[in-house]
Amino acid sequence: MRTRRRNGRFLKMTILLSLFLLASCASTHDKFHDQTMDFAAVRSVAVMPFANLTNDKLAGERVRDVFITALLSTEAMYVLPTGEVARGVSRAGVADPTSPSPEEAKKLGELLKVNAVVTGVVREYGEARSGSTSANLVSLSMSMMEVDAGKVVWTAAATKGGISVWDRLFGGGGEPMNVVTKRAVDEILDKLFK
Amino acid sequence: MKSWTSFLSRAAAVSFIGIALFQGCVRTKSVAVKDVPLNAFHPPVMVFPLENMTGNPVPARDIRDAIAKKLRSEGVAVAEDGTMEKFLARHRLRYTGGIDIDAARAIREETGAGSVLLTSVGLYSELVPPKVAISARLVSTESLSILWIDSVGLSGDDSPGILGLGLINYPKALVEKATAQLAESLTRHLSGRRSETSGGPKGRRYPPESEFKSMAFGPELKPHVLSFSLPASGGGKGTGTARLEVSLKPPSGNGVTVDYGIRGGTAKGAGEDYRFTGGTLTFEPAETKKTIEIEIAGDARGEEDKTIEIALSDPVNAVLGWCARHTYTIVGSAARRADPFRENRVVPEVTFDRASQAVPENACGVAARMVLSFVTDRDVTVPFEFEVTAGGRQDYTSVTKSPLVIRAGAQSADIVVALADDDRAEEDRKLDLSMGDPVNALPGALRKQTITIKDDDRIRSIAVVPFYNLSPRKNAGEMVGLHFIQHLVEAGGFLVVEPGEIREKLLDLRIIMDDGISLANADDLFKRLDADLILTGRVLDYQDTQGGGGIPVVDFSVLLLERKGKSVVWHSKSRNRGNDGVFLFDRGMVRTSHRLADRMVGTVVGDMLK
Repeated sequence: MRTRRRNGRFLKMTILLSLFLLASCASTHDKFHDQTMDFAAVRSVAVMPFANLTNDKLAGERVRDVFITALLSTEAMYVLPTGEVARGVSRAGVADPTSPSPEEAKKLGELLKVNAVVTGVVREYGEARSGSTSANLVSLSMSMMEVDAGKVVWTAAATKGGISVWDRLFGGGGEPMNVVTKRAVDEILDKLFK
Repeated sequence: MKSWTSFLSRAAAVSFIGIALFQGCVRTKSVAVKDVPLNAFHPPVMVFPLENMTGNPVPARDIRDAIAKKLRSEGVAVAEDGTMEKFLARHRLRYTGGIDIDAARAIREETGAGSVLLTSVGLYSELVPPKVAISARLVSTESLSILWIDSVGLSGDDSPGILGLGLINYPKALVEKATAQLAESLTRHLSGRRSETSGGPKGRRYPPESEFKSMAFGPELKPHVLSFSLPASGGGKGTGTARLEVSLKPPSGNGVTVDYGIRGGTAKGAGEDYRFTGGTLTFEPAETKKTIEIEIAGDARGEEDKTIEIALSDPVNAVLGWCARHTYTIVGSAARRADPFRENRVVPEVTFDRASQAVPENACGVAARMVLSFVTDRDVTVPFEFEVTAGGRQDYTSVTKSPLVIRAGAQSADIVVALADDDRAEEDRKLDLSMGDPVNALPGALRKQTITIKDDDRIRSIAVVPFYNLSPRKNAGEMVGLHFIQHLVEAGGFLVVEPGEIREKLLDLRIIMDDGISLANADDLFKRLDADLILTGRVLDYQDTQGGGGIPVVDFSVLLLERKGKSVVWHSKSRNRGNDGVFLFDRGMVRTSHRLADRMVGTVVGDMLK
């Protein structure tokens, strides 16, 4: 009787341990790197206007400006000014600048002399509310399309901010929007370079 | 009782006299400020009508008159209103937010005014508490340079004080306060006294969300330039090791690297004529000179001169200068060969290839080419000499010694002159290079060449192009641009182009910006404005609230383009709210977008020039 109970406990422990180990092996599925791509060959990029799924109609442009600055400051690649990208979009006749087709990306590459185009989606930008508590939240995803082959070589997503347990218990309103945006963009860039 | 009363009345009388005397002292002090004879030294100032950037009705005439009156009372010579109005009508000038060079010249010639005061109202709200934001600048009618610029953004509840005693509820009183502040700042400038608040951002710092500064540029946004010290050098076979000096100017606080390698020439490597594989030079912080060594083969046989072309490439934290290539000549041991040109019976003519050329001072060197009308079988020897005709300084050394020898079989040869690059702002210099009587040739048509050495140490000019406005606020792009102009002028070290001149060029070139400046537009503007840098960006928010209770929000990104490489030197993004960093009793609250933007821009400019 005692042995059976001990065996049962051992079985439970084994199952729990296995679950724990399996969980640690699981990937977050928020990053993709084309293993055949030589990212060092990407010397200049055009950051396209970001698709905006939020209520703030300028959220896409706000995040785009932060992203451009952060990407430039890595000194790893040159980022074209937004006005130059707009000129390219207009001359190439890109139907939807937020998601250019491979053919359009190729055309942009030739016109703007860039190696890749970066597109992005702003999914959340603003205050998240729960009861009487609120905090700033930013959720982004981005991808890079190499212009020669017209294929996506990198994608990443990041979500920062939101209501923490501390906010829920003691209030406080979370971090300022610019801090949350910067943290989200930094995480995205970490996923590009690591 | 009576004595007590008389004691009190005496004490009161003494106190009154004391206060009166004290006030008298204070007044004496302020009179001394007003007594500066401003009109004795300055030609009249023409106060232009206000530019209303608010999109709403503004008492423009009252504000303009209040400023003019205040200036007159401070002793500043102000041009008559009638003269100004007649001038505007005669020239059909309707835009009064800036002036171009033609308008400035016309004002000077026709009215004698030495400067124009341009005033813009960015915010005017009469709802309690009232709000006003005014920016003003003084522009010279002679040089079109911005002599002074300041701005003020006030809200009636800036300093409410105890029980709201400090509240200003009347717009007129607030406008009076704003105009008085501006007039005081201007008179302080005209009398040569420095403002206590000038020379840096006022109040709290508002660091950008993210910022990028190219490390290839120094604090004054001048590039760290890598180049060879000489454009050419040479030596005979058996020289041993040729040493080529590479300089970095100005020194960098960061490490700088540059690759070097062979990019051409007639000499052969791998030990035949020389041994050299290329590599990377690393400049440690503050280091300015490095040497590239080439081993010249001593036992190789050869008759003709042979050249090695070495080039610098892929600089990190610096840019390549004019002299990024160097030609090293291995002088042949026996140039006099068997004569393959016996059939030439006529003596050739020797001449310079052009009458003049211009090079910048930092070009490290210049080559003046002499050419023969045809090749000959004999060495042609041409004596030459230099004469400085303008500029007065002799900042050059002739690498080629007189006489120049054009070897038999060659059709041309260069007189190489090394230039010394200094940090002084000076006028351009001119060198006349003239040839003497050649041997084995006749003098041709061009016997003299003028070389102009252009000074590259002039103050860098910066054009602030109106920001692309994505916000709902009318003219927010121009308003943020004015903040940048103000802080750049205050920082000094730049010649800031008058916005009126930029507007004129944008209209001339029919530039309509879509989502910001394109490189093609930037190129046109660089040329037309002769600017070294263009600063522009995008405004996403410039929000003020009418009445009390609201919080201003300002959101903009900045882009600084450099002329030579048309590259982005600075990029930053700032977004702040008036209550950022405010925790207790609204202490430190900023109540107008003008003041918030002023502090944010002050922080950005400070970081940019750090």
